[in-house]
Order: sequence, then C-alpha cells, then structure tokens
Amino acid sequence: MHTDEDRIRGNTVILKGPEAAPATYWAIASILHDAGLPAGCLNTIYHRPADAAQITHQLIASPVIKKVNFTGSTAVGSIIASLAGRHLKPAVMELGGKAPSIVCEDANVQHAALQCALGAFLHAGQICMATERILVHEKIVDTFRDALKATMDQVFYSDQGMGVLQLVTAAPVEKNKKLLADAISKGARAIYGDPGHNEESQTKMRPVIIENVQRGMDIYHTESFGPTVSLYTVKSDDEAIAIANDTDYGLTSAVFTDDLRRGIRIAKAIETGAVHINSMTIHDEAVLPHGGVKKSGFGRFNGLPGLDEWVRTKVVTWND
Amino acid sequence: MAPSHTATNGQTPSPAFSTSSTIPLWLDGREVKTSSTFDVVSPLDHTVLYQCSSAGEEDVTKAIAAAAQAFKSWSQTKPNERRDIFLRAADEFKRRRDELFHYSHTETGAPESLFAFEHNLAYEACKSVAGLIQTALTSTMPVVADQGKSAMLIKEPYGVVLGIAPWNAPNVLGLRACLQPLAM
Repeated sequence: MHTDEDRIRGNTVILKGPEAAPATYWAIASILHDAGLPAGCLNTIYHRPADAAQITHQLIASPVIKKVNFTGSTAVGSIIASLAGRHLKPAVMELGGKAPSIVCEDANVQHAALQCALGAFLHAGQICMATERILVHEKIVDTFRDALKATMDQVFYSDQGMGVLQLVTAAPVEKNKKLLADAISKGARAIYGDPGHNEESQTKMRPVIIENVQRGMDIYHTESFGPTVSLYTVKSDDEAIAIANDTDYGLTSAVFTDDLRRGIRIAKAIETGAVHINSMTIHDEAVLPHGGVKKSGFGRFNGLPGLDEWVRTKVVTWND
Repeated sequence: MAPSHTATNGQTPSPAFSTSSTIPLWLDGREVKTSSTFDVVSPLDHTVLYQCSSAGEEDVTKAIAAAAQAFKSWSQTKPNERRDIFLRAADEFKRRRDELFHYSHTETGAPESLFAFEHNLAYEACKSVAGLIQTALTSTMPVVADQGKSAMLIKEPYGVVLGIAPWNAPNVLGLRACLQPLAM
C-alpha cells in the first residue's frame, strides 16, 4: 500500500531556460506534455538577466529542491556550485572547455586538418567541446598548416561552404576580437583570416587562425567560445601533453595519429573527460557519459552514469 | 491564440509565436504568461522576435509547489508508463522538426547543419533513455556478514530537482536537463 511519502521512481523538475532561446525550451515542455507527461512534472522558468541572482538563490535555497544540474560557462557554474555547496545540494556541472587537438607526425594530415577545422568552427566555435588549440608536431607543421588553410577555404568559401559565421549576439564577436588584438600585440600572427576585419553585422565574424601563441596572451588560457583557434608547434608527445594540460579546463580533446597504441598512451595522459582518437573534439551521443574534469565541471550526462546521477541509494536491512 | 502545435492533420506545425506574442512559463501543466517580460532579439537582423515571460518570486514559489505535488504521483508510476511518454516525445521531436529549427535559427542564428546534429541527439536521447528505464532502476541485495540478516540496496529518486541549461544546443541540452531526472 503506497503512502504520500513513498518515493519509488521519477523526479520532477524545474527547468530554468536561457533568455536567448526561450521558444525551444517552451517547445520541449510542450512536446513532453503532449506526450502525456502529467501536470507539474516539468515546470519552465525564464527571467531577465538582472533577476538571475535572486531567482537562482530562491530556487537553490528551497528545501524542496534536492539536486541541481547546470550546463553553461565555468564562471556562472562556479556561482551556482557555491550556492549549491552552501545549501548542501548535490550538483552536476557541465561547464566550459579549451579543447586541444594533438596532431602527431604520423597523422593523416588531410583528415586531421578537416576535423580540426570543423572542431574549431562549427556553430562559430560556440560549443563547449569546440577545438580551441591545435598542437602539431614540428616535422609536419608546414604541411599541416597548408592543408588546414586549404581545408578552411573549402569548408567556408566554396559553393557549399559555411560562409561568414553567425554568432548569438555581438558580445562573443567583441570578445574574440579583443583576444586576437591582445595576442597579436604580444607577438602572435594570423595565418588565416583577418583579425581586423569587421562585418556589416555586429553578430557575424569570419574565422581566424593564429600562430606563435604564448603564455601571457589572454587567448592562451581564456575560452574563446567563438571563431578563433590557436596553432602550436610541438617537438614531442610530452610537450604536446604538457601544453594540452596547461589549462584549468578539461572537457574534451582529440589526438590524430596512425598508431593506436600511441593514441591511447596520449589519451591516458590528457586531463579531459573525453579523448577522441582520429576525430574532432566535438562528440556527443546517448551511450557515452559526457562531462568534464577540473574546471570543466563534475558529474556526467548520458548513458547509465547519467541516469544514476538522479537516484541515490538507500540501504535497508532486516532479520530473516 | 490556438496552439498550432496540436494540429493532427499530419501537416508540419508552424511556429507558435509572432511579434505580438509573449512566451509563457509552463507551471503545473498550464501555459502562464507573466506581466513582467523581456525582449527576445534575433541576432540575424537585430529585430525583436517576441516577448518572453520573466518569472518573479511568486512564480518560482508556484513552480516549486507544483513540482512537489506532482512528485507524489509521478514517483509512483511504473517504468513502462514513463518509457512510453518518452517514446511519444521522440515522435513529437521528429514531427515538429521544422518548427524547432525555426526557433533555433531565429533566436540563436543556428545553421541547419548544427541544428540537424543537436536536434537528432535530442530525438535519440528520448529513445535511448526510454530503452534504459526498466533495467536502470534495478536494485541489488548485497550479502551481509551476520547470520539471519538480509539487506537490499534501493535506488530512490531525489524528489524535485533544478535544471539550468543554455542556448547553444538548446534541444539536446534543454532536454537532458530534465529527461534523465524525470526518467528515474
């Protein structure tokens, strides 16, 4: 016989949606309700940016709310996680990234070039898994650079090309231009695209690849979340791994090599939640647990681990 | 305004919002517009697409109360019932694909290729989670040390949970912020 306090299975949810994409979140709830989800199981909230602190605090502080999941920037995730921590609410955090792609000297250069171009510039780089750094072995860097530039022309400016990239607001365009200006003022150089070029629309930008990036440039550590990528030359796998790990982030990465043992050896050394050997840093599917390490967050979505996040265990013992 | 998404004549649903619309909150199974709103601006042409409801303290209180009340019965549903809801939701994601692309493209500038990728992930997520529910909740019975004593390890839901998700892959990221918690 069940009482009101029985909790067998099935959480209910308050979903706080983004002010930039409210119609999609309305549609998700609309779809689930039309599919038969009972009233109250899924409630959606939006608010103006100015009300963020108050609304978020009210939600996380409520004794009714037992766990929080957040997908977004590391900066905001840190605020959410500290609120959750103060109120002792467990959390899943899926945050930003600074994904490296390591290209070994035995890589299939054409394939690596395409995967790096796509990884860096799909959705104008506005993906947490976007490739932000390409680390190429010095033995093939000249060949790779040429292949990458030719691939970029094909991917962007051919008949079926992506064309000029559309971003969500003017803010990431400004951010990327600032990062580029800072890098170039300190010695970086553009090898593809023109950092000084402005589109007629403030929300559009063409892709830019820079080289000779050093620590001390903002773009070395800062997630660009836009259409820029940095190319590094490395002398060894150890150096590549050291640079790959020289970041607070750790969401995804990629390794391009013809030697699977070498790829796995490197994969084991990179500090990220996922490593993709011979494909781009952007990869997500239902069966693979998805999430980061370090400041890319904690907890996992997808697969069985993603489901286990939403139950807790209870021990019951008895005398036979 | 008659909700165009409930069309049952097999035609592709059209977008539900125009420049005079206010996107509602979903509270306790009802679409609720708040008096406080904000502009939703398209990055494509910098025009205002529509207004969106902006929740206040009272709305949040209502949402929490609705979720708490719903938990009492939702937490007693069988895995098959939840599985079937998610399978129907998968079909709906597919049926309303063009409508969903319209929202993604106008609100965030998403190109067709990116939308196709992440919308498909949302569709697949509904089916994958549906397929896992029945076995994912299996509990275990560890064997304890003492004679004449038994134990079991039950998986129980947390209750009401909060999901916060972003704009950049809104179908898959918005969905997984609520799908897996609802499933378990």
